[in-house]
Amino acid sequence: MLVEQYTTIEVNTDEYKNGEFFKKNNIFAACKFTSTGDSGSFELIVFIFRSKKSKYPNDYTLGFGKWNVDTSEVDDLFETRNRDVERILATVAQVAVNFLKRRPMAGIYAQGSTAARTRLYQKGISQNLGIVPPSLRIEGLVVKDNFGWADFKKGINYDAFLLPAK
Amino acid sequence: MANIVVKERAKKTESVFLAYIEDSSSIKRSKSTIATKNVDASKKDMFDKKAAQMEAMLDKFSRPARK
Repeated sequence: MLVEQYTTIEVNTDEYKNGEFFKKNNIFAACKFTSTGDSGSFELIVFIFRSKKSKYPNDYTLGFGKWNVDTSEVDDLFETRNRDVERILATVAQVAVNFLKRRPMAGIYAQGSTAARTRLYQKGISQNLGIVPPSLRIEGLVVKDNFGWADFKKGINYDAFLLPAK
Repeated sequence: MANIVVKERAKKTESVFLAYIEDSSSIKRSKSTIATKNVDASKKDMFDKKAAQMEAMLDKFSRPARK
């Protein structure tokens, strides 16, 4: 079953340039969308970025959270409490998939800002494995016992995820 | 006489109690200020940490071969 998504708007990163974050990272994609519900409306932003010092030219980091206008920072611990976790994750996943369509050699790294959030992403991926585009695969990282990266399988607890094209 | 002693004790207890409340609320206040500062500081470089984590995890663990 397809999860409903929020409509995203591509962002000109000049709009967000004041943060310290931009001095150290290159932004390759930025989209914003608005979470709406009982708790109110919140502007959330998704960045696909890479450290300027990175040794991995094909790999990117994905981050998303609430944009803080006052500090020009992204708060990725923010909870909308709009009961729209699945919709938010589906929206963020679509941003990643669209990015990978444009860069077939790329891989996108994703890790929750907390262990609980990483579990949440894992749950979301498990529930939607059936609709992952055939051109993509999902790898999971298990740090314990130096297990390392492997193709994502249900029922394993991962510490991070990587979405590369096949 | 006994009444006066009891009243004085009660006064003392009350003042000690009030001092305790004042003290503990100031502790709570300072604790929450510290917590907020810590969260704010960590938020600022949260994404930098993520980028660094990616580098570290790619350095440490080799990836499955592309199909």
